[in-house]
Amino acid sequence: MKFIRFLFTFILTVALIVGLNEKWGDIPPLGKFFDPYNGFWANAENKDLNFTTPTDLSFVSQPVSIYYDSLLLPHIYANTSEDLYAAQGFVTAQNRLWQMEFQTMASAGRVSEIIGKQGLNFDRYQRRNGLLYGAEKAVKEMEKDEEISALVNAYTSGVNAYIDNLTYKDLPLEYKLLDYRPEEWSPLKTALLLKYMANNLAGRDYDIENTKLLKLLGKERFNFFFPDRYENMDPVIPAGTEWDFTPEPVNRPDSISFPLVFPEKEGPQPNAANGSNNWAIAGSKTNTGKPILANDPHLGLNLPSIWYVMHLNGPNTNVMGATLPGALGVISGFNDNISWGVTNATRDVRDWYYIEFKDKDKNEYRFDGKWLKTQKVVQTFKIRGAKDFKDTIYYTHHGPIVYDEKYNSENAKANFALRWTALDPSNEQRTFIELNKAHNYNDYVSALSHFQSPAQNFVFASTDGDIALWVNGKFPLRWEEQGKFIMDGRRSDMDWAGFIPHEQNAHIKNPERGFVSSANQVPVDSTYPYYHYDTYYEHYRNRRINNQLSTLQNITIEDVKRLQNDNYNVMAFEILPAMLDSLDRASMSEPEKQAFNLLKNWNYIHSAETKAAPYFEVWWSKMYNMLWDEFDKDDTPSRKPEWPVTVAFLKKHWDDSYVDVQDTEKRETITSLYNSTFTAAVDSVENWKKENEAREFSWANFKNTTLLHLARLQAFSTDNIQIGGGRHIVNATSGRHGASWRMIVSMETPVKAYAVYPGGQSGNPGSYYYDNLVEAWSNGEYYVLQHPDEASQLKGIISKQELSPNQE
Amino acid sequence: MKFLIRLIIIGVASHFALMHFPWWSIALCGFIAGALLNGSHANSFFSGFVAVGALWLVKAFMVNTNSEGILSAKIAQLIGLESGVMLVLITALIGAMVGGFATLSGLHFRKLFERKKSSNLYK
Repeated sequence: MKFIRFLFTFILTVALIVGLNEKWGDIPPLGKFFDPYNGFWANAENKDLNFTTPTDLSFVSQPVSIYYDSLLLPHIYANTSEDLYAAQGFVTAQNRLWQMEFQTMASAGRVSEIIGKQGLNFDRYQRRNGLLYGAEKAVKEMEKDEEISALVNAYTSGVNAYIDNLTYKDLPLEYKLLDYRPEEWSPLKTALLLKYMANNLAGRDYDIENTKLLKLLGKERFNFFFPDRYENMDPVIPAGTEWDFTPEPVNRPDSISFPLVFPEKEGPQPNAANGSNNWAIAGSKTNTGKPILANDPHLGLNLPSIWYVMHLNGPNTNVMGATLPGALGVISGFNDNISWGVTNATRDVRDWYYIEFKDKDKNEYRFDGKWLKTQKVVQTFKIRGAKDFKDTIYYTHHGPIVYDEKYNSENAKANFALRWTALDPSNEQRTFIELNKAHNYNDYVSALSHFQSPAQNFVFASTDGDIALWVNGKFPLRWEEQGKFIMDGRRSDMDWAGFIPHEQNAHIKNPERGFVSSANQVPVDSTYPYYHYDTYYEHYRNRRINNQLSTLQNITIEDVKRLQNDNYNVMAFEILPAMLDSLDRASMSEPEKQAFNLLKNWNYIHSAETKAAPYFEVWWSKMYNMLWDEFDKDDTPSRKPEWPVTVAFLKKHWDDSYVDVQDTEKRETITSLYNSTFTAAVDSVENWKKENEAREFSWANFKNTTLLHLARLQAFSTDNIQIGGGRHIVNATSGRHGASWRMIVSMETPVKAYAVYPGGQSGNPGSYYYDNLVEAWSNGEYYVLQHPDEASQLKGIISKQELSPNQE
Repeated sequence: MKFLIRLIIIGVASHFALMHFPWWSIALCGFIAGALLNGSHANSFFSGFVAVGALWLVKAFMVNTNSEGILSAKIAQLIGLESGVMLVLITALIGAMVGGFATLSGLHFRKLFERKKSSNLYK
């Protein structure tokens, strides 16, 4: 009896402990997690800094000093390059470990190891899309480069010194919540992070959509709705720039036919709105007589922020700016001599090939009448709480077969191979290491020669007074329309014949107009001797920026701050008057009259406070979707005509058959569409007002700009940020997307720099420094970045960490 | 009196154990104290319950106050609680349950080795 009693309570106690030590569905292990000594409570920091220096500091060869200033920006002073990048790895891990690892897990298609089955579809696409495959090639390429390889290894040892020292108590909160532990860092993870960015910025193409639409519409109508160029384009390299080189020959095959088959569904695609602004103004146009450079990359707005700001001081290096946790060096920043920034150089660098296999074993595929061998790789996916999943991926000389009957091509039973520059061997890490210590224009150009993907518009300014911009990346030589549609993988004349030589990439140095700029628009005018193609070129931000920079003289830092935060909507200016003119004012309801008057008196500025912008945005989007209802007919991948094409269509083609809405009996006209969508838009805004009575009706509240935690946890996110702007506006802040880093650098001696970003330096949701920069960012305010060559000149230091190899 | 002594032993031992060992070391503290010091079922259970419960309550409360509730408000929202204070109470309850049952198991363990009352005159 006593024994049974003991056994009963004992088993009950053990069961309780085991139960509280296990993760149940989304519920973290409660005992472990709530333990106030080691669980999540140990991550509650506020303004405290819980940095512990590991006892084993053998990853540095000489003492390294790390100073944190009042914004928690680290200033690292090291005596050797290896120590500098080892310390960069250590400090980044100390502040952003969960994020830096999670992003590489996503890149490698390993999310299901953390979150279970619901991550599998995403993971399969990541592997099929080739990010892990590309990263493995990039590691081999880095290993060939002794200098870079040594630095990447140093960085790796710095990250691992931090990871090895972690007890459960010190783990970043997300590990405790999702109940797993970080792995060892490796050069492969750095490569994966760079591929993650390549996919974010160059991983979207519309070849599948184009193929479907070509089949549906025929060539003439396709070209009418989806032209390669439109009116009044304002390219990155100013129109009329002369090209002083002899282009490589490109031969267009005589007979071209595109196989009109396509997968029914696409894998998870990156956001097409990823873009950016940058510009550099010559000294002749600034108040100091020295150039000013500005950069603001637009990415998904997340917490922890995609960027981590650092100051790195070592031999021949004194650089500061935005880093990507997981990659070495500064990505967008400045040193004592130069500054640089990046925007996405949108250009189609992903092509699809239709593959014909000899038989269902898929060992051979047809190419120019011969059979070539495939390479077969079985990928294993570990899934939390379930059995491993195996997926077979076949590789052709083009690249991996992404879509086949096992993945999104069930009905067509067709196979599609991907050819993508991001999967070629490359060494982008060298570009950043060289830029970090570049002295002048020539150093900058030499650094860029190593950069292949994702192609970027690198803007440049120096204390020598030079400004420049290179549209830089690895671009295939293409004949007209090559790669716009899915191509025939059985013909060698459909393959890329080569690449544009680096020195023939479009670029400009010290132009007469006194500034260079880019905003993801078309790179060049039609005189550039190479065919280039892309979709959704920016057509508004670029014109606004160029217009402002042409007009302004004696430009100050304040002017540049104003321009980065400019909320003027060029698109509204071009279309709204025509929209308002077609409304029937006699039959308007009271709310419609109010909306009409707001819009009529609006200055096209998307300020946080304006009440007109919500009406315009909703009205335009309803109009756009109603007009192009023809392109939404089924679930297969589709696209709609771009905004500039739509605006031109609305002004010129009012009798086109596509104006009519297919689902209705009556015949619509553009005027009737404007009227019915206006009524629907006012209704929808009135509904918003009813549902959000507690909030004031304003553009900022309506668009609800949100910084979403990377694991999509609402509780660790910040919403309803009071900021203006929107898509295709220089201040490109929409609901979930916008300026992820704003930097302005004046190339005086010493260099002066100002920056801000939506987030904070700490990756810990329990820290004051998690999101402390958000308010300044939303107000258009900046912080001064200090970057003295001597640590003794640093101001406002709140913490110092000494990494000394002799310490026991 | 034994209640109080057992309570203090469990509380102090748990405090030091948690600085070096995983969270379930509180159960070992409760179990050992329960086995060492005799008492009724309720007496044992509640000494462990109150000891660990109070320890976790005080610790969580202090962390919550020192950090001005930044994190606890977020965790509370995450698991659907009203406030960080509720989170402190839940923390205490989890610790208390484990402490209580572990101490009670310890008592039952002790009883396995107790001789019959008749031959235990000096106790």
